[in-house]
Amino acid sequence: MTSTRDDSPQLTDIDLRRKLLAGGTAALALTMVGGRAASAAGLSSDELDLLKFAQGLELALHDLYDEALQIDNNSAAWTAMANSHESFAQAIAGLAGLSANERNDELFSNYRVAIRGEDRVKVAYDLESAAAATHIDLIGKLSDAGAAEVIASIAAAESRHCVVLADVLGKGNDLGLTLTNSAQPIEA
Amino acid sequence: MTTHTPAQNSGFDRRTLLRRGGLTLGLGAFLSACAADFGGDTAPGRVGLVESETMLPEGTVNDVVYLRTMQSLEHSVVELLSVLIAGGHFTAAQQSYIDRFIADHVAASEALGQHISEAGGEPYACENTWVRSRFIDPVLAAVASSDDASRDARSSAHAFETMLAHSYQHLVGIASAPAIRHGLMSLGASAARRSALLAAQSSASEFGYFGPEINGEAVETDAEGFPIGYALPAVFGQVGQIPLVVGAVDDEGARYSTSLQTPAENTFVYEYMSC
Repeated sequence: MTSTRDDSPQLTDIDLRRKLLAGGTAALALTMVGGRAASAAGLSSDELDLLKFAQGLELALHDLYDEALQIDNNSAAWTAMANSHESFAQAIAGLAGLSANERNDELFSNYRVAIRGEDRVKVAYDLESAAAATHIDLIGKLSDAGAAEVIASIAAAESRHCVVLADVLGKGNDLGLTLTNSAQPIEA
Repeated sequence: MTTHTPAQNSGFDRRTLLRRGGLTLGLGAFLSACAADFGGDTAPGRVGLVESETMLPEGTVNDVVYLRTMQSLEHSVVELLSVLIAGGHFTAAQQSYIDRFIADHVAASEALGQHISEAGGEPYACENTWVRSRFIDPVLAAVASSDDASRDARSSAHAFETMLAHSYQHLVGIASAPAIRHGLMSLGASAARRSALLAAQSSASEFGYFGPEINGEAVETDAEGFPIGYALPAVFGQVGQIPLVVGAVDDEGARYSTSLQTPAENTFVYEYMSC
């Protein structure tokens, strides 16, 4: 079994097996978020714009992890992250009635080189922190409780991603890194 | 020769008694129905000096109640961790982040108190009595008599931190004001990080970071039947029950087990409640 405590973004065999199956269960996972039926109905145009921005962020993260996968072929960590963010984008699509096909190109361009570089795990940590902060900020701007509920479930998962990435970095005992999100929300 | 003598009619045999009794009751009912209302108390009479029943205050569930409930749960977790620390159940390495957790919970309580005041409510800076009696006391009792108190202290801390994370996320979906939802999830994200850290520290090297629910697989336990904590138990943040197994094996071969839950009507700290 591969160690989970080294500097490599490789995860355990169990993780790899699970992540290879993860893509097909995104819809199921969304149904586990909660019983509230959220839809585009009742969302203002401002709220739809905010959700579209959040969706673009998720799609950019998915594509950035695909870039990392080109460096670390078959990395379970990057596969896991890429699949998760694709699921998040799809969840927002279902919530807002938006097609999940328009990534945030500015974000993707800004981080494309970095996510292929040597510090890519730390870059991923920073991206996850920023994404979680962005979604928490978004919750305060959404009037629809169902939309807030879905975004909260994404923010919770991304907060956990940060801890996993910190641990993969070998800094699982750095409480400033694992427990504190010092990132600022990405501005729309 | 004998002569048959007819029985004397007493004038009050059983049949007559029933007939006259029914007639009397029917007449009484008729007269009662026709009687004038003379007023007075119509409630059933009471015998003895016992106080009459005390009705519970009407508890309205609103955003202030959600905030007060989470403030009480923060204090509940502080109480739990403090007792576990006092029992010497954490290793030195664990102690460093458990101390940080307690500081985070105290800060969270202060932040919630501020949100409550801003929303026009009264802060509730003390533990949740229902959670204390239903969960914390039994868990502490089981840990105290455990065959591996260190293992159980770690499991308990993880379960209660996860409960906080689930609770904050759950309440975001039912709170009314966006600003309050934002405040709840800011604290919920921190709780999720604490939960993930404990899981990563205790089980990632053996079981990995990702839970089976990510792929719709059944929840697993370890070889001894303990629930496995994962840093990332599912693709999305969860709001379900958190299983916790602690304590020594009893005479029936089982350990104490419970399921922590997100707050509901029986856990809420209503506005009429005070510390």
